[in-house]
Amino acid sequence: MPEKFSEVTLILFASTLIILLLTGLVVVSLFINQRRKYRFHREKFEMKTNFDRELLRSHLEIQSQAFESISRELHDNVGTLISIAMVHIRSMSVPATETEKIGEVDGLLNEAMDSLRDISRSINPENINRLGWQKSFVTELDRVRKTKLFNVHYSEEGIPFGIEIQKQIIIFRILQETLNNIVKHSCGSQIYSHVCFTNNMVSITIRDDGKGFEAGQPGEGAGIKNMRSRAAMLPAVLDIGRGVERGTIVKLTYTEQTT
Amino acid sequence: MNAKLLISTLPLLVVGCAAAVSLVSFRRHYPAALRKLSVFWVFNFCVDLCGHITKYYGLKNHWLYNIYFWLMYLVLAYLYDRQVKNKYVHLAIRAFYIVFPLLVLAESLVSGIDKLQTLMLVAGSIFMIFLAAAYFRQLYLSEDNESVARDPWFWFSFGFIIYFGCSVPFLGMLNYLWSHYKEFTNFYYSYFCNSFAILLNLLIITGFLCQRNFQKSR
Repeated sequence: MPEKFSEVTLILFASTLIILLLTGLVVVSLFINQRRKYRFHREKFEMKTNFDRELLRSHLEIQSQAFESISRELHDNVGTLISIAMVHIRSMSVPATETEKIGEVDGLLNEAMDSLRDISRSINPENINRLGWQKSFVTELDRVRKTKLFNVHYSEEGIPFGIEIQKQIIIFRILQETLNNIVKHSCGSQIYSHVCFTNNMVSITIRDDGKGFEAGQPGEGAGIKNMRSRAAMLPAVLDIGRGVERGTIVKLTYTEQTT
Repeated sequence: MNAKLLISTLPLLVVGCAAAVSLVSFRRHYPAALRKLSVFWVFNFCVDLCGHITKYYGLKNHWLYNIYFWLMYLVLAYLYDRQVKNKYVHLAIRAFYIVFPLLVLAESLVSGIDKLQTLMLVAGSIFMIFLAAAYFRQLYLSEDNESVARDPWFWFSFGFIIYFGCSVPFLGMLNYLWSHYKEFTNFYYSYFCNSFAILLNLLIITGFLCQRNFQKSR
Protein backbone atom coordinates (compact mmCIF):
# COMPACT_ATOMS: atom_id res chain seq x y z
CA MET A 1 0.00 0.00 0.00
CA PRO A 2 1.16 3.64 -0.49
CA GLU A 3 3.44 5.36 1.98
CA LYS A 4 0.89 8.08 2.68
CA PHE A 5 -2.40 9.09 1.22
CA SER A 6 -1.53 12.42 -0.32
CA GLU A 7 -3.44 14.88 -2.47
CA VAL A 8 -1.71 13.45 -5.52
CA THR A 9 -3.10 9.98 -4.96
CA LEU A 10 -6.53 11.46 -4.28
CA ILE A 11 -6.40 13.38 -7.56
CA LEU A 12 -5.28 10.25 -9.35
CA PHE A 13 -8.09 8.08 -8.01
CA ALA A 14 -10.71 10.80 -8.44
CA SER A 15 -9.72 11.56 -12.03
CA THR A 16 -9.69 7.86 -12.91
CA LEU A 17 -13.12 7.41 -11.35
CA ILE A 18 -14.50 10.45 -13.15
CA ILE A 19 -13.13 9.26 -16.49
CA LEU A 20 -14.59 5.78 -15.94
CA LEU A 21 -17.99 7.24 -15.05
CA LEU A 22 -17.95 9.57 -18.04
CA THR A 23 -17.00 6.76 -20.39
CA GLY A 24 -19.76 4.58 -18.96
CA LEU A 25 -22.25 7.40 -19.39
CA VAL A 26 -21.23 7.99 -22.99
CA VAL A 27 -21.48 4.30 -23.86
CA VAL A 28 -24.87 3.90 -22.17
CA SER A 29 -26.23 7.00 -23.94
CA LEU A 30 -24.92 5.59 -27.22
CA PHE A 31 -26.83 2.37 -26.66
CA ILE A 32 -29.99 4.24 -25.65
CA ASN A 33 -29.71 6.44 -28.73
CA GLN A 34 -29.18 3.38 -30.90
CA ARG A 35 -32.31 1.74 -29.50
CA ARG A 36 -34.33 4.90 -30.08
CA LYS A 37 -33.02 5.14 -33.62
CA TYR A 38 -33.87 1.50 -34.28
CA ARG A 39 -37.41 1.99 -32.94
CA PHE A 40 -37.85 5.08 -35.12
CA HIS A 41 -36.69 3.20 -38.24
CA ARG A 42 -39.00 0.29 -37.46
CA GLU A 43 -41.99 2.60 -36.99
CA LYS A 44 -41.15 4.37 -40.25
CA PHE A 45 -40.90 1.06 -42.06
CA GLU A 46 -44.21 -0.15 -40.60
CA MET A 47 -45.90 3.10 -41.58
CA LYS A 48 -44.58 2.79 -45.12
CA THR A 49 -45.69 -0.84 -45.35
CA ASN A 50 -49.16 0.05 -44.08
CA PHE A 51 -49.37 2.95 -46.48
CA ASP A 52 -48.36 0.76 -49.43
CA ARG A 53 -50.84 -1.88 -48.38
CA GLU A 54 -53.66 0.65 -48.10
CA LEU A 55 -52.73 2.11 -51.47
CA LEU A 56 -52.81 -1.32 -53.07
CA ARG A 57 -56.08 -2.16 -51.33
CA SER A 58 -57.77 0.98 -52.62
CA HIS A 59 -56.30 0.33 -56.06
CA LEU A 60 -57.76 -3.17 -56.04
CA GLU A 61 -61.11 -1.91 -54.76
CA ILE A 62 -61.31 0.60 -57.58
CA GLN A 63 -60.34 -2.11 -60.05
CA SER A 64 -62.91 -4.45 -58.56
CA GLN A 65 -65.63 -1.81 -58.87
CA ALA A 66 -64.58 -1.13 -62.45
CA PHE A 67 -64.76 -4.83 -63.25
CA GLU A 68 -68.16 -5.07 -61.65
CA SER A 69 -69.43 -2.13 -63.64
CA ILE A 70 -68.01 -3.50 -66.94
CA SER A 71 -69.50 -6.90 -66.15
CA ARG A 72 -72.89 -5.37 -65.52
CA GLU A 73 -72.70 -3.29 -68.67
CA LEU A 74 -71.72 -6.34 -70.73
CA HIS A 75 -74.53 -8.40 -69.30
CA ASP A 76 -77.28 -5.79 -69.25
CA ASN A 77 -76.44 -3.71 -72.28
CA VAL A 78 -74.42 -5.63 -74.85
CA GLY A 79 -76.01 -8.94 -73.81
CA THR A 80 -79.50 -7.49 -74.23
CA LEU A 81 -78.61 -6.06 -77.63
CA ILE A 82 -77.35 -9.44 -78.83
CA SER A 83 -80.48 -11.12 -77.42
CA ILE A 84 -82.71 -8.65 -79.26
CA ALA A 85 -80.70 -9.18 -82.44
CA MET A 86 -81.16 -12.94 -82.04
CA VAL A 87 -84.93 -12.55 -81.50
CA HIS A 88 -85.17 -10.34 -84.58
CA ILE A 89 -83.25 -12.81 -86.71
CA ARG A 90 -85.36 -15.71 -85.52
CA SER A 91 -88.59 -13.78 -86.26
CA MET A 92 -87.48 -12.83 -89.76
CA SER A 93 -89.20 -14.51 -92.67
CA VAL A 94 -86.35 -15.33 -94.95
CA PRO A 95 -86.31 -16.98 -98.36
CA ALA A 96 -85.18 -20.60 -98.40
CA THR A 97 -81.91 -19.65 -100.15
CA GLU A 98 -80.87 -17.43 -97.21
CA THR A 99 -81.86 -19.81 -94.40
CA GLU A 100 -78.39 -21.30 -94.14
CA LYS A 101 -76.70 -17.89 -93.83
CA ILE A 102 -79.23 -16.75 -91.27
CA GLY A 103 -78.62 -19.96 -89.31
CA GLU A 104 -74.87 -19.25 -89.33
CA VAL A 105 -75.47 -15.68 -88.10
CA ASP A 106 -77.71 -17.03 -85.37
CA GLY A 107 -74.99 -19.51 -84.37
CA LEU A 108 -72.36 -16.79 -84.29
CA LEU A 109 -74.58 -14.59 -82.16
CA ASN A 110 -75.14 -17.52 -79.82
CA GLU A 111 -71.39 -18.03 -79.55
CA ALA A 112 -70.85 -14.31 -78.94
CA MET A 113 -73.51 -14.42 -76.24
CA ASP A 114 -71.81 -17.38 -74.53
CA SER A 115 -68.41 -15.69 -74.66
CA LEU A 116 -69.90 -12.50 -73.36
CA ARG A 117 -71.52 -14.36 -70.48
CA ASP A 118 -68.25 -16.11 -69.65
CA ILE A 119 -66.28 -12.88 -69.68
CA SER A 120 -68.92 -11.13 -67.65
CA ARG A 121 -68.84 -13.91 -65.07
CA SER A 122 -65.09 -14.14 -64.87
CA ILE A 123 -64.56 -10.46 -64.23
CA ASN A 124 -67.45 -10.03 -61.83
CA PRO A 125 -66.15 -10.16 -58.24
CA GLU A 126 -69.60 -11.13 -56.98
CA ASN A 127 -69.33 -14.30 -58.99
CA ILE A 128 -66.08 -15.16 -57.23
CA ASN A 129 -67.76 -14.39 -53.90
CA ARG A 130 -70.54 -16.79 -54.76
CA LEU A 131 -68.50 -19.63 -56.24
CA GLY A 132 -65.25 -19.27 -54.31
CA TRP A 133 -61.79 -18.91 -55.84
CA GLN A 134 -61.37 -22.59 -56.62
CA LYS A 135 -64.56 -23.05 -58.65
CA SER A 136 -63.99 -19.73 -60.35
CA PHE A 137 -60.52 -20.93 -61.30
CA VAL A 138 -61.94 -24.18 -62.70
CA THR A 139 -64.52 -22.14 -64.66
CA GLU A 140 -61.69 -19.99 -65.98
CA LEU A 141 -59.82 -23.12 -67.05
CA ASP A 142 -62.97 -24.27 -68.85
CA ARG A 143 -63.10 -20.96 -70.62
CA VAL A 144 -59.52 -21.45 -71.82
CA ARG A 145 -60.34 -25.04 -72.81
CA LYS A 146 -63.25 -23.78 -74.91
CA THR A 147 -60.85 -21.77 -77.06
CA LYS A 148 -59.51 -25.16 -78.24
CA LEU A 149 -56.01 -23.69 -78.31
CA PHE A 150 -54.89 -25.59 -75.21
CA ASN A 151 -55.37 -28.95 -73.58
CA VAL A 152 -56.10 -28.04 -70.00
CA HIS A 153 -55.32 -30.44 -67.14
CA TYR A 154 -56.50 -29.85 -63.61
CA SER A 155 -55.82 -31.81 -60.44
CA GLU A 156 -56.16 -31.17 -56.75
CA GLU A 157 -55.29 -32.83 -53.48
CA GLY A 158 -55.89 -32.18 -49.79
CA ILE A 159 -58.84 -30.75 -47.96
CA PRO A 160 -59.79 -27.18 -48.89
CA PHE A 161 -60.14 -24.64 -46.10
CA GLY A 162 -61.96 -21.34 -45.88
CA ILE A 163 -60.23 -18.15 -46.99
CA GLU A 164 -61.41 -14.60 -46.47
CA ILE A 165 -63.46 -13.35 -49.48
CA GLN A 166 -61.15 -10.42 -50.27
CA LYS A 167 -58.18 -12.75 -50.30
CA GLN A 168 -60.03 -15.23 -52.51
CA ILE A 169 -60.56 -12.47 -55.06
CA ILE A 170 -56.84 -11.63 -54.98
CA ILE A 171 -55.87 -15.29 -55.40
CA PHE A 172 -58.26 -15.67 -58.30
CA ARG A 173 -56.98 -12.52 -60.01
CA ILE A 174 -53.40 -13.80 -59.81
CA LEU A 175 -54.44 -17.13 -61.35
CA GLN A 176 -56.53 -15.38 -63.97
CA GLU A 177 -53.60 -13.17 -64.98
CA THR A 178 -51.40 -16.26 -65.20
CA LEU A 179 -53.86 -17.96 -67.56
CA ASN A 180 -54.19 -14.79 -69.63
CA ASN A 181 -50.41 -14.61 -69.97
CA ILE A 182 -50.25 -18.24 -71.06
CA VAL A 183 -52.98 -17.72 -73.65
CA LYS A 184 -51.41 -14.51 -74.94
CA HIS A 185 -47.68 -15.23 -74.87
CA SER A 186 -46.77 -18.87 -74.27
CA CYS A 187 -47.36 -20.30 -77.79
CA GLY A 188 -47.84 -23.67 -76.10
CA SER A 189 -50.53 -26.30 -76.28
CA GLN A 190 -50.74 -27.75 -72.78
CA ILE A 191 -51.69 -26.23 -69.43
CA TYR A 192 -51.22 -28.23 -66.24
CA SER A 193 -52.67 -26.88 -63.05
CA HIS A 194 -52.43 -28.45 -59.64
CA VAL A 195 -53.95 -27.26 -56.37
CA CYS A 196 -52.57 -28.71 -53.17
CA PHE A 197 -53.98 -28.09 -49.70
CA THR A 198 -51.86 -29.03 -46.70
CA ASN A 199 -52.99 -28.01 -43.21
CA ASN A 200 -53.46 -24.25 -43.50
CA MET A 201 -51.45 -23.84 -46.68
CA VAL A 202 -52.53 -23.94 -50.30
CA SER A 203 -50.14 -24.05 -53.20
CA ILE A 204 -51.34 -23.59 -56.77
CA THR A 205 -49.02 -24.55 -59.60
CA ILE A 206 -49.73 -23.65 -63.20
CA ARG A 207 -47.36 -24.95 -65.85
CA ASP A 208 -47.36 -24.65 -69.62
CA ASP A 209 -45.24 -26.11 -72.40
CA GLY A 210 -44.73 -22.88 -74.29
CA LYS A 211 -41.62 -20.89 -75.16
CA GLY A 212 -40.89 -20.02 -71.55
CA PHE A 213 -40.37 -16.81 -69.71
CA GLU A 214 -37.54 -15.52 -67.53
CA ALA A 215 -38.93 -13.72 -64.49
CA GLY A 216 -37.18 -10.70 -63.02
CA GLN A 217 -35.94 -9.45 -66.40
CA PRO A 218 -36.01 -5.69 -67.04
CA GLY A 219 -38.83 -6.04 -69.52
CA GLU A 220 -41.19 -7.59 -67.00
CA GLY A 221 -44.69 -6.38 -67.85
CA ALA A 222 -47.30 -4.64 -65.77
CA GLY A 223 -49.29 -7.88 -65.48
CA ILE A 224 -46.46 -9.69 -63.68
CA LYS A 225 -45.84 -6.67 -61.46
CA ASN A 226 -49.53 -6.63 -60.53
CA MET A 227 -49.36 -10.33 -59.74
CA ARG A 228 -46.39 -9.73 -57.44
CA SER A 229 -48.09 -6.78 -55.74
CA ARG A 230 -51.21 -8.83 -55.18
CA ALA A 231 -49.20 -11.74 -53.80
CA ALA A 232 -47.41 -9.34 -51.44
CA MET A 233 -50.75 -8.05 -50.28
CA LEU A 234 -52.06 -11.46 -49.23
CA PRO A 235 -49.20 -12.08 -48.23
CA ALA A 236 -48.26 -15.10 -50.35
CA VAL A 237 -45.17 -16.41 -52.09
CA LEU A 238 -45.22 -16.16 -55.85
CA ASP A 239 -42.53 -18.00 -57.82
CA ILE A 240 -42.28 -17.56 -61.56
CA GLY A 241 -39.65 -19.58 -63.34
CA ARG A 242 -38.74 -21.63 -66.35
CA GLY A 243 -40.00 -25.18 -66.67
CA VAL A 244 -37.59 -28.11 -66.47
CA GLU A 245 -37.50 -28.61 -70.23
CA ARG A 246 -39.58 -25.75 -71.59
CA GLY A 247 -42.46 -23.50 -70.70
CA THR A 248 -43.08 -21.56 -67.52
CA ILE A 249 -44.06 -22.58 -64.01
CA VAL A 250 -46.00 -20.22 -61.80
CA LYS A 251 -46.40 -21.27 -58.20
CA LEU A 252 -48.49 -19.38 -55.68
CA THR A 253 -48.24 -20.46 -52.06
CA TYR A 254 -50.55 -18.95 -49.52
CA THR A 255 -50.61 -19.76 -45.83
CA GLU A 256 -53.73 -18.90 -43.88
CA GLN A 257 -52.78 -17.16 -40.65
CA THR A 258 -54.33 -18.90 -37.67
CA THR A 259 -55.32 -16.51 -34.90
CA MET B 1 5.72 -18.05 -9.50
CA ASN B 2 4.93 -15.47 -6.81
CA ALA B 3 1.79 -13.33 -6.73
CA LYS B 4 3.53 -10.18 -7.87
CA LEU B 5 4.96 -11.88 -10.94
CA LEU B 6 1.58 -13.41 -11.71
CA ILE B 7 -0.11 -10.01 -11.50
CA SER B 8 2.45 -8.46 -13.82
CA THR B 9 2.29 -11.40 -16.24
CA LEU B 10 -1.50 -11.56 -16.50
CA PRO B 11 -1.78 -8.50 -18.82
CA LEU B 12 0.86 -10.04 -21.07
CA LEU B 13 -1.25 -13.19 -21.36
CA VAL B 14 -4.35 -11.15 -22.20
CA VAL B 15 -2.39 -9.14 -24.79
CA GLY B 16 -1.23 -12.46 -26.26
CA CYS B 17 -4.82 -13.71 -26.40
CA ALA B 18 -5.94 -10.45 -28.05
CA ALA B 19 -3.14 -10.72 -30.62
CA ALA B 20 -4.05 -14.35 -31.34
CA VAL B 21 -7.78 -13.58 -31.62
CA SER B 22 -7.06 -10.58 -33.86
CA LEU B 23 -5.56 -12.95 -36.41
CA VAL B 24 -9.13 -14.05 -37.17
CA SER B 25 -9.28 -10.96 -39.39
CA PHE B 26 -6.97 -12.69 -41.88
CA ARG B 27 -9.27 -15.65 -42.21
CA ARG B 28 -12.61 -13.96 -42.90
CA HIS B 29 -13.89 -11.06 -44.99
CA TYR B 30 -12.56 -8.43 -42.61
CA PRO B 31 -11.62 -4.94 -43.83
CA ALA B 32 -7.96 -3.99 -44.28
CA ALA B 33 -8.02 -1.61 -41.29
CA LEU B 34 -8.72 -4.50 -38.93
CA ARG B 35 -5.93 -6.56 -40.46
CA LYS B 36 -3.53 -3.66 -39.93
CA LEU B 37 -4.67 -3.34 -36.34
CA SER B 38 -4.19 -7.06 -35.93
CA VAL B 39 -0.59 -6.80 -37.19
CA PHE B 40 -0.02 -3.94 -34.77
CA TRP B 41 -1.47 -5.93 -31.90
CA VAL B 42 0.90 -8.81 -32.61
CA PHE B 43 3.71 -6.23 -32.55
CA ASN B 44 2.24 -4.92 -29.28
CA PHE B 45 2.46 -8.40 -27.82
CA CYS B 46 6.09 -8.78 -28.95
CA VAL B 47 7.02 -5.41 -27.38
CA ASP B 48 5.26 -6.35 -24.15
CA LEU B 49 7.05 -9.68 -24.12
CA CYS B 50 10.41 -7.94 -24.60
CA GLY B 51 9.44 -5.47 -21.88
CA HIS B 52 8.72 -8.30 -19.46
CA ILE B 53 11.94 -10.13 -20.30
CA THR B 54 14.06 -7.01 -19.85
CA LYS B 55 12.26 -6.23 -16.60
CA TYR B 56 12.86 -9.78 -15.39
CA TYR B 57 16.59 -9.35 -15.98
CA GLY B 58 16.53 -5.97 -14.27
CA LEU B 59 17.24 -4.00 -17.43
CA LYS B 60 15.75 -0.56 -17.93
CA ASN B 61 13.23 -0.70 -20.74
CA HIS B 62 11.73 2.79 -20.88
CA TRP B 63 13.34 3.41 -24.27
CA LEU B 64 11.42 0.37 -25.61
CA TYR B 65 8.08 1.70 -24.39
CA ASN B 66 8.92 5.20 -25.66
CA ILE B 67 9.41 3.82 -29.16
CA TYR B 68 6.36 1.62 -28.80
CA PHE B 69 4.12 4.54 -27.80
CA TRP B 70 5.43 6.75 -30.64
CA LEU B 71 4.42 4.07 -33.10
CA MET B 72 1.18 3.28 -31.36
CA TYR B 73 -0.14 6.83 -31.49
CA LEU B 74 0.84 7.25 -35.12
CA VAL B 75 -0.64 3.90 -36.17
CA LEU B 76 -3.90 4.47 -34.29
CA ALA B 77 -4.19 7.97 -35.76
CA TYR B 78 -3.65 6.47 -39.22
CA LEU B 79 -6.34 3.81 -38.62
CA TYR B 80 -8.83 6.32 -37.21
CA ASP B 81 -8.23 8.50 -40.26
CA ARG B 82 -10.02 5.78 -42.25
CA GLN B 83 -12.80 5.25 -39.73
CA VAL B 84 -13.90 8.77 -38.85
CA LYS B 85 -15.58 10.54 -41.73
CA ASN B 86 -15.22 14.13 -40.63
CA LYS B 87 -13.01 16.64 -42.42
CA TYR B 88 -12.05 18.45 -39.21
CA VAL B 89 -10.91 15.20 -37.64
CA HIS B 90 -8.91 14.46 -40.78
CA LEU B 91 -7.31 17.89 -40.50
CA ALA B 92 -6.58 17.27 -36.83
CA ILE B 93 -4.90 13.97 -37.72
CA ARG B 94 -2.76 15.72 -40.37
CA ALA B 95 -1.76 18.30 -37.75
CA PHE B 96 -1.01 15.49 -35.29
CA TYR B 97 1.30 13.85 -37.86
CA ILE B 98 3.31 17.06 -37.92
CA VAL B 99 3.16 18.18 -34.29
CA PHE B 100 3.61 14.82 -32.60
CA PRO B 101 6.98 13.89 -34.17
CA LEU B 102 8.20 17.41 -33.35
CA LEU B 103 7.10 16.93 -29.75
CA VAL B 104 8.82 13.55 -29.62
CA LEU B 105 11.98 15.07 -31.05
CA ALA B 106 11.94 17.96 -28.60
CA GLU B 107 11.33 15.71 -25.62
CA SER B 108 13.98 13.26 -26.78
CA LEU B 109 16.49 16.11 -27.02
CA VAL B 110 15.55 17.57 -23.65
CA SER B 111 15.02 14.40 -21.57
CA GLY B 112 16.60 11.70 -23.71
CA ILE B 113 14.88 8.45 -24.58
CA ASP B 114 16.08 6.46 -21.58
CA LYS B 115 13.47 8.13 -19.44
CA LEU B 116 9.73 7.59 -20.05
CA GLN B 117 8.49 10.54 -22.13
CA THR B 118 5.46 11.54 -20.14
CA LEU B 119 4.67 14.68 -22.15
CA MET B 120 4.49 12.62 -25.32
CA LEU B 121 2.34 10.05 -23.51
CA VAL B 122 -0.12 12.66 -22.27
CA ALA B 123 -0.35 14.43 -25.64
CA GLY B 124 -0.74 11.17 -27.55
CA SER B 125 -3.27 9.73 -25.10
CA ILE B 126 -5.38 12.89 -25.17
CA PHE B 127 -5.39 12.78 -28.97
CA MET B 128 -6.43 9.12 -28.92
CA ILE B 129 -9.30 9.99 -26.56
CA PHE B 130 -10.29 12.75 -28.97
CA LEU B 131 -10.30 10.30 -31.90
CA ALA B 132 -12.28 7.69 -29.98
CA ALA B 133 -14.78 10.39 -28.91
CA ALA B 134 -15.03 11.55 -32.54
CA TYR B 135 -15.85 7.99 -33.54
CA PHE B 136 -18.53 7.80 -30.83
CA ARG B 137 -19.99 11.05 -32.11
CA GLN B 138 -20.07 9.59 -35.61
CA LEU B 139 -21.92 6.54 -34.30
CA TYR B 140 -24.32 8.78 -32.42
CA LEU B 141 -25.21 10.76 -35.54
CA SER B 142 -25.13 7.79 -37.89
CA GLU B 143 -28.29 6.73 -39.75
CA ASP B 144 -26.98 3.17 -39.90
CA ASN B 145 -29.40 0.72 -38.38
CA GLU B 146 -26.86 -1.90 -37.39
CA SER B 147 -26.26 -2.32 -33.69
CA VAL B 148 -23.19 -0.54 -32.31
CA ALA B 149 -22.41 -3.75 -30.43
CA ARG B 150 -21.57 -5.31 -33.79
CA ASP B 151 -19.15 -2.57 -34.72
CA PRO B 152 -15.52 -3.51 -33.87
CA TRP B 153 -14.41 0.11 -33.79
CA PHE B 154 -17.02 0.85 -31.13
CA TRP B 155 -15.36 -1.72 -28.85
CA PHE B 156 -11.86 -0.54 -29.74
CA SER B 157 -12.82 3.09 -29.07
CA PHE B 158 -14.46 2.10 -25.81
CA GLY B 159 -11.24 0.33 -24.79
CA PHE B 160 -9.00 3.21 -25.88
CA ILE B 161 -11.07 5.79 -23.99
CA ILE B 162 -10.90 3.74 -20.80
CA TYR B 163 -7.24 2.81 -21.18
CA PHE B 164 -5.88 6.17 -22.23
CA GLY B 165 -8.37 8.15 -20.13
CA CYS B 166 -7.43 6.32 -16.96
CA SER B 167 -3.74 6.18 -17.78
CA VAL B 168 -3.27 9.86 -18.65
CA PRO B 169 -3.32 11.22 -15.07
CA PHE B 170 -0.98 8.45 -13.92
CA LEU B 171 1.38 8.48 -16.91
CA GLY B 172 1.54 12.27 -16.89
CA MET B 173 2.84 12.22 -13.33
CA LEU B 174 4.75 8.96 -13.59
CA ASN B 175 8.28 10.36 -13.28
CA TYR B 176 7.23 12.58 -10.39
CA LEU B 177 5.35 9.74 -8.67
CA TRP B 178 8.28 7.42 -9.24
CA SER B 179 10.66 9.73 -7.42
CA HIS B 180 8.28 10.67 -4.58
CA TYR B 181 5.90 7.73 -4.07
CA LYS B 182 7.70 4.68 -5.35
CA GLU B 183 5.63 2.14 -3.44
CA PHE B 184 2.34 3.72 -4.37
CA THR B 185 3.45 3.96 -8.02
CA ASN B 186 4.25 0.26 -8.02
CA PHE B 187 0.92 -0.51 -6.38
CA TYR B 188 -1.08 1.66 -8.78
CA TYR B 189 0.75 0.33 -11.82
CA SER B 190 0.38 -3.33 -10.78
CA TYR B 191 -3.29 -3.19 -9.91
CA PHE B 192 -4.85 -0.27 -11.77
CA CYS B 193 -2.81 0.23 -14.93
CA ASN B 194 -2.66 -3.50 -15.52
CA SER B 195 -6.44 -3.78 -14.99
CA PHE B 196 -7.04 -1.07 -17.58
CA ALA B 197 -4.65 -2.83 -19.97
CA ILE B 198 -6.53 -6.10 -19.42
CA LEU B 199 -9.84 -4.33 -19.98
CA LEU B 200 -8.55 -2.74 -23.18
CA ASN B 201 -7.41 -6.10 -24.52
CA LEU B 202 -10.69 -7.77 -23.59
CA LEU B 203 -12.51 -5.05 -25.52
CA ILE B 204 -10.12 -5.55 -28.44
CA ILE B 205 -10.98 -9.27 -28.39
CA THR B 206 -14.71 -8.38 -28.30
CA GLY B 207 -14.20 -6.05 -31.25
CA PHE B 208 -12.57 -8.73 -33.35
CA LEU B 209 -15.23 -11.28 -32.44
CA CYS B 210 -18.33 -9.09 -32.61
CA GLN B 211 -19.41 -10.85 -35.83
CA ARG B 212 -20.26 -7.92 -38.00
CA ASN B 213 -21.21 -9.04 -41.49
CA PHE B 214 -18.43 -7.25 -43.36
CA GLN B 215 -19.34 -8.97 -46.62
CA LYS B 216 -22.78 -7.37 -46.46
CA SER B 217 -21.51 -3.95 -45.43
CA ARG B 218 -18.97 -3.70 -48.25
